[in-house]
Amino acid sequence: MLIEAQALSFGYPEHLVGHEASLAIGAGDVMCLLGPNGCGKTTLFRTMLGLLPPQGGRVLIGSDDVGRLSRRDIARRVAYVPQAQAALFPYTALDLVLMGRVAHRGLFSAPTGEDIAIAQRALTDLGIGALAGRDVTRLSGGQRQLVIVARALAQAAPLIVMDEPTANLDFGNQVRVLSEIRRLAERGIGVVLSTHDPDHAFAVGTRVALMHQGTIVASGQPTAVLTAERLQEVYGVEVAVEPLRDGRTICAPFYNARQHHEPDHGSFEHGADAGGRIGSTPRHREGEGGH
Amino acid sequence: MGGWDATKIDTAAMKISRGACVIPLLAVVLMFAVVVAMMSGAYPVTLDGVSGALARLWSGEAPQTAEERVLLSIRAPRVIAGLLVGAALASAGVVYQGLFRNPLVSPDILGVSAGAGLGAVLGIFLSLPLAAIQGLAFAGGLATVGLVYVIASAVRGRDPTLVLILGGVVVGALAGAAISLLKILADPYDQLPAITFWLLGSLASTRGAEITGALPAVLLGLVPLILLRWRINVLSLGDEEARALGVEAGRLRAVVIAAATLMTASVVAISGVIGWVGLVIPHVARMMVGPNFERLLPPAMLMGASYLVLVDLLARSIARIEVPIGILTAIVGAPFFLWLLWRGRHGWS
Repeated sequence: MLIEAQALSFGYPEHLVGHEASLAIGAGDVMCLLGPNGCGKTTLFRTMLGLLPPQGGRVLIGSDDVGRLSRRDIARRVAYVPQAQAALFPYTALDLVLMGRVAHRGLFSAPTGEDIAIAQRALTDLGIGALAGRDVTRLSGGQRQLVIVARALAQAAPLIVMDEPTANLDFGNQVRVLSEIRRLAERGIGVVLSTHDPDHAFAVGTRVALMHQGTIVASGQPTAVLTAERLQEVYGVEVAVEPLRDGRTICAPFYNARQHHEPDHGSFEHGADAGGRIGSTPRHREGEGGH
Repeated sequence: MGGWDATKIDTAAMKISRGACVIPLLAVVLMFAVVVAMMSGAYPVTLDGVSGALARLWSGEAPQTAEERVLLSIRAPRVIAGLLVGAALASAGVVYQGLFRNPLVSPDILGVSAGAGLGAVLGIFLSLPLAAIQGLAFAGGLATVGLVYVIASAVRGRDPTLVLILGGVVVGALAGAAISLLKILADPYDQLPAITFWLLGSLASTRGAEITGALPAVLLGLVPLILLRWRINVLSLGDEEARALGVEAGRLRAVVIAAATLMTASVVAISGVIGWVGLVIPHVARMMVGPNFERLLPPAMLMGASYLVLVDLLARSIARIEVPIGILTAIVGAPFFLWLLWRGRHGWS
């Protein structure tokens, strides 16, 4: 396993965001994390990356506890694509991608010719090689997102964690980013991403974890986890999940039906109720991967 | 991945090549500034006179004429102080603007000038000798930033750079209050003018001894910044991203702050408070070579050095009396900064 969360509680000492999260991602896996706004996806990612200390349970990267690894060791094993934000400095795209090489170079070093070649290749792999010299402040949101993905590639880690990589992207760019994620997985890179769109999980996910109020209510094969009932339960809206003739599955919400009221976003202590309401399905079904 | 207009020319290559020719250009400007500053003053010296005096200095002989004595014992230390102070303030400014991710940040942001000012004012108030005043100023600058850092480290769970800035503002304001109190208590005929002049900055009284005192501290601060300059880029992405990229952000920030503070405190101790250099010069340097700290630091140093030598030349030549250099840097810097704002480019370029 590239990364493993074992019964992980995450958040802050005075405010627990989630608990009992267990995930395991191996080479070539694309794990999609789905869940409503504020359910704790980003906090879970930050804890898995060692940016926040776990409040219980543990995170293993490779076979080492994340707390025992230096930032440099973590960066060589896991790359992070944070949620899109406006670029502050007019670094060129190449300069920004080169920063992914910091973990591979010594304290006082400057990027080598090899680093520049790796960075340029990462940009080219994502089809944006021609943007290398452009200021990132002048790129579109989608282009910038791909530059950050290129930086993660240049980091040359076997696992990439992406926090809502498709947020704020137009339809075409969403498809492009998701296609890239699929190609990364084909190259044997493990990917964990959070998304708001069940269709993205159907499109690229080899596995899905559905999160609600800080707990993972189900995980496993996308079609097994993302049933209409469960999506309805978690998001509070009626949806149809339909197989297409070519074997793909899509999720289509009903816009005219009287929607359920907002799902209960009450305090964390009610999390168990939410799991319980899902009823016939086990509250946390770990997928075939196992530990 | 088609569909994207990616036909723009390679501006990175342009920037790099521009960066490459910027350094020789700035070096020439610096040489020019130094030569002009050596030649002009109350006692004008020809180019031959300057080179003759330098040649004599090089060969280790004692100065022969009054002209040579003026050049070597008064004017040269002053010019060298200008180089040192300008380069130090500009580098500290450029590194702080990246570190605090804010284009309005200057080297004073963590209170180093306020603290140094308090130390110097206390020294003047106690009628201490010049060396002690400078020592107190240096210690005051270091102690203030140290205090701000300790306060910020004690606050957990908030954006550490924001806490540092707020701490700097608060402690700086306290030091300012203490300075005001000492000004009220000071002897209005003897001490108060000295205090006022010190707080406006001047290179007039700088001699060789001050330079040999400040130089090691400036180098001690500058060398780590030069060595770490690629890595410092990563801090400008914010703590979390920097850590995810494999940088121990907190530790690196502490080193950068210590280095910048050491440089700033040691030059403020010999020159007094000279504002605006550390704010404006980084912007000009970024306009020329872009934000990549790896390429930004050397031009910023050269530019800061030339700028201060020239402004100091102005300070001692535009009027019969010596104009405090801090007044001139503000008069030159403020309109320039407004022009930058007016141009409306996104603050950083």
